Amino acid sequence: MSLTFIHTADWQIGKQFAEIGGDAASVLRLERIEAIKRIAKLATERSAAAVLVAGDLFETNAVADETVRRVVNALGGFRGPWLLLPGNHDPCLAESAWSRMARLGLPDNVVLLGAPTPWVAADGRIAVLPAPLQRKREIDDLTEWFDRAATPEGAARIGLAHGSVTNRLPEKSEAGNRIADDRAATARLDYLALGDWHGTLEIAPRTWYAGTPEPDRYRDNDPGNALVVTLREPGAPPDVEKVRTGRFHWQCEEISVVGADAAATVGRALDAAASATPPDSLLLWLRLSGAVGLEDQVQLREVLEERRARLFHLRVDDDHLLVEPSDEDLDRIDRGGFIRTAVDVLRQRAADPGDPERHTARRALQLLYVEHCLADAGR
Amino acid sequence: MKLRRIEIENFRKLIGPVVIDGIADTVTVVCGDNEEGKSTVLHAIQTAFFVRHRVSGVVADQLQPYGRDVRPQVTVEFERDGGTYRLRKAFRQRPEAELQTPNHPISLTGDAVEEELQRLLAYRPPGRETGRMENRGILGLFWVQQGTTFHGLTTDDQARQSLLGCFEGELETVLGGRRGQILRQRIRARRDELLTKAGKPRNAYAAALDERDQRQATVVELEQRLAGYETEIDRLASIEERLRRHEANHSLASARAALAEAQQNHERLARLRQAEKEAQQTLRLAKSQLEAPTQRLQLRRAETERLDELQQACDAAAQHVHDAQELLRRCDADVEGAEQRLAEANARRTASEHGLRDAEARERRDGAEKRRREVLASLEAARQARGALATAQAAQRANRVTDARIAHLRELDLQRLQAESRASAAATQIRLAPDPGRVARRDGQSVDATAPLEIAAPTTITLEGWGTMDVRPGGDGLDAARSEAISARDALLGALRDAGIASMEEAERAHRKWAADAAAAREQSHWIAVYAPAGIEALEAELQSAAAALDALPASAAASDTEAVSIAALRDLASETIDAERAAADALAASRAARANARNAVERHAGEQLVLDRQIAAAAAALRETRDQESDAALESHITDLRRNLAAAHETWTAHQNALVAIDATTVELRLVNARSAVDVIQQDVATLTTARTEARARLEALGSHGLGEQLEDARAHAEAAAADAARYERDANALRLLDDTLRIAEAEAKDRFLAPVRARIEPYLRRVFRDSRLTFDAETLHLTGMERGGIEEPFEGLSLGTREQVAVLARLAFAELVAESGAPALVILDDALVYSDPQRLEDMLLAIRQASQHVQVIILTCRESDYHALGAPLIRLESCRARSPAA
Repeated sequence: MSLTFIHTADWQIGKQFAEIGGDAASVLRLERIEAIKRIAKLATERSAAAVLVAGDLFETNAVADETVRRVVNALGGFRGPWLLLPGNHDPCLAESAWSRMARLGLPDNVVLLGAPTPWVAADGRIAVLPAPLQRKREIDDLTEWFDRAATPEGAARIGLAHGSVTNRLPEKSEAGNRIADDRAATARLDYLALGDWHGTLEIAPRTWYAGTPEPDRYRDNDPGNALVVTLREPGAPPDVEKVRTGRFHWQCEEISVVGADAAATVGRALDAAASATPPDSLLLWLRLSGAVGLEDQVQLREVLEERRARLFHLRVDDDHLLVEPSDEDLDRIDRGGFIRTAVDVLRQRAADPGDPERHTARRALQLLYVEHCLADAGR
Repeated sequence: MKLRRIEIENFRKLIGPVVIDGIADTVTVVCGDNEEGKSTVLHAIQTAFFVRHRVSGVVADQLQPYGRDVRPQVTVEFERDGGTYRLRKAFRQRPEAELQTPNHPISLTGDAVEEELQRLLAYRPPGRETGRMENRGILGLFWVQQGTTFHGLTTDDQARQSLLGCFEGELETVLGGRRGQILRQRIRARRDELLTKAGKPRNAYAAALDERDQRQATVVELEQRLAGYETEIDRLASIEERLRRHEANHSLASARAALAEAQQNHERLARLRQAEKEAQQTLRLAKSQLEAPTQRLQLRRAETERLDELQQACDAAAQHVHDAQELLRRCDADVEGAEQRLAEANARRTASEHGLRDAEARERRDGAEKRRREVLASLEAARQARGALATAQAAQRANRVTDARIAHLRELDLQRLQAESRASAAATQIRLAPDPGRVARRDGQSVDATAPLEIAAPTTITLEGWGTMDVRPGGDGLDAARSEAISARDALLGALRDAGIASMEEAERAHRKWAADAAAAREQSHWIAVYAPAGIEALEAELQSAAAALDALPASAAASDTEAVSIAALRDLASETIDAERAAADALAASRAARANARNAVERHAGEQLVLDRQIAAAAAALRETRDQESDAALESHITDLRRNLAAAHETWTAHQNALVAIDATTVELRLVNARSAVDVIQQDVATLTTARTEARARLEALGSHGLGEQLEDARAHAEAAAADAARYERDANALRLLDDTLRIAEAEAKDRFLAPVRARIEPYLRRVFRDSRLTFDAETLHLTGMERGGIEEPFEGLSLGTREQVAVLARLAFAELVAESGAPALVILDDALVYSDPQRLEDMLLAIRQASQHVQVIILTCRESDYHALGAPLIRLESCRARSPAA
């Protein structure tokens, strides 16, 4: 009875990436539509019996009609059944992206599983048990009914749900929409296809999170895949193949730097990242910590600005980078006179944890140093 | 450096040689009057030291006395570093310079002198403009020209550098130098780019804050719209839920089924009601059928009873007729007696009325007669008074001595007596004393010898026995008096004659008679008024009227036996008889009424008896006829049948009523109403919900198409970016403000530190004059900028002239001391520098000068010699310097 289907989830169509901003955000938005097309292509290539989308197809129910239309168009790449499940971002409310999608006209092969009713297809060989969210947050485990659901004899029982598997995820992720971690066993499922966790993960026996097909955040949990699931015979473990569908790589680098090597260290790290991944598809979040001098900071900035142009996107977080002027820095500004006196006062204040203006004093030193450099450069 | 001797010749005001010698090491006062050349002395010293001997042009010309063409010369002897120098310079004509120095046995001359002076006095030559003395080095700072002290402490570049050279430390290092100033200005400029002077955001900073607020407002607006969208979705869900419930509960179908059942029950109820109504109708019919025979039976019984009653009444009426006839007979007898008593009362009343009328006629005639007699008596008395009045008035008219006339006569008589008295007083009096028995005669009449003789006219007195004696009185005015007396007597006599009277006595008598007649006339007039107030004629008319009235009365009847009875008694009697007659009449009327009543009763009872007889006959006939038609037994049997029918109808109707009660008609009707209403309500609710669902879907469709969620996410990101941008500006603005403040404070403190030695030197001097005060300087120019007193800084230009000159002198003394200690040349020359100081301040200043002179030589040029006596310094008078000069 070999049966193959595609498991995907968390497309988050309509996500704006406004924090990225500019052209890059537009590219990221469009790329998510492209990811759907890649999934459709994959399904076609693997002759999938269906594509199961385990929730959060949309980032929000309040997406524009144009966005909905783009999705419908992208679905055209696969003529088999698309089984769409509402998630917590796009719950099946009285009015939702789903109802608008329906009004705009859905192809026959696109099925919205908006009610907890088994969907049977492929001549009774496959029975999908959906647990659609009808509001953003459910207190009860919506997959409970799977245990009692009757399906045609010999049909593969596939659960489709969106939420957090209990006892398996970080506590913060279990805030709502719980799913029992033994649901696959209690409901005699051959496979439980889940959405909500954006990384690809086998969370429990026969229970998988497909993850988002196109990465959308700086989290190293293996996003950017779709799962090709093959059920060879009833009761046998599913054969799950992870196929890369994402284009962009979202990478977070935490680098601690100290003193004069800061610029070089950061430069090396950025170069290493760019060599491991095509730079034009790399979004890098650089979280700097440590302590540098004023002169080091200037050099560091130059390195960062130079590398920024090479990458698709570079985000630098230097909130934890302590810019401490060195004695040499301060000597460069002035060795004596009232300027030096002022510098010493500011340095002292910046170093005083009880001074409410210590951060301001630190910034003042940086600005003074910059002005000193500009004055020296005759600018 | 110390000045020892000064020689001046042909220099401006000082033409003749002037030699100032004996200048003390400490302080010396050079005094002279105005225009004597004190300031020229200072000018000459400055010229000797700082003006090249080859100077030409205007500067050179200004050195010589006005209007003269001579060779100005100045010679100055001074000490420097323990050695004695003698400097001599001559200008314009054969310019010459010579300097004797302790180190060179040969005097220096020419330009070598100038060079050596520059070295000694540490100043740079003023270049090509050899005449200007602005750059006089440090000495220039301590030499104060007259009238310039209060301008403050102005230092030229050389002086400042010299002075600064005296301070420890490096100015450049302390103040940060030019580079420090550039940084300071750059930071200031950057701060000003973001902040106003008051520290408010401006330019890009203000724009970033605005952008942040606007972005945030957009987020809020979108959040509200999205919340509205979601609320609308909830509302739609609620509507759909209610519709689902209707559908799931089959509420409309249930309501319709309930309505059908209620309608069936209601129809059954209607049928029952109809049956009950028909039973009631049957019952009513049975009742009405029974009603007529029953009434007939009752009527027949009533007629029988009535016939019996009529018979009884008829018997009673016969008895009443008999009784009434008996009563009528008694009433007739009563009427007859009453009529008799009335006739008697009538006779008595008539007799008493006649008696009364006669008595009243007599009384009226007696009254009329009495009145006539009274009027007649009054008339007669009046007539008598009228006669007496006429007599008195006639007598009065005959008497001519009225009140007026007697008054006139009395006046004339008085005048006569007065005239005669005056004549008598003027007359001659002769008293005769004849021998007894002898007689004297006057004008033939014997004279009473006991009384004096009064002679007013020539008189002849015959003295018996002696002869005659003619007396001719001749007193003053005698003749006039006599004449007046004669005139007065004539006047009186004339008046008496007019009245027809001979003497005054007669006149008096006649007047008394006239007065008595007048009184009698008044009395008679009074009586006339009493008796005939309306006049005698009216009284006469009244008498005629009274007589006529008497005649009109009938002659009096003869007095009867009852004449003695009073009219009042007669009237009482008449009244009694009238009452008696009225009582008799009333009794008669009552008897007659009783008789009429009795007669009426007889007639009425007889009539009644007759009517009853007839009714009895009619009723008996009618009853017989009815019974002939239907016997009493037949009628009662018929009634029994009808009553049986009625009972059956009633039983049927009661059964129907009980059935209605059992079915509870009210409940059936209410259920029908409720069921109808329920169907309506549910239909309405479904329709309303359906419409609301359509509308909500339409609204949501419109709202949803805009992509509010995407817009909001986008807006939030922009708001965050704007907030971060604003925060960055805020951070930089705060940093720049802090940086600027810190630099400003550091610079101020640096300057303060730099000036510390200057202040340390000045303060002892300052305390002498201004306690608790502190001077402020510009650290770079060393200009005095102000003075702090009591924590308040006052700008130098704001101080009084006196304070400014005192402060400026004190600062110079301090600087001079500082310079002297450093080994540089220092010498203080004050040209009338303290002209605005009050005595106390001047005293303090002299102490300060004395203190400074311990370290530096001080020369004071003044025209106010006495001001400096307290200083105890050597005093050099310019005049004596001139006298001691060789030329002198």
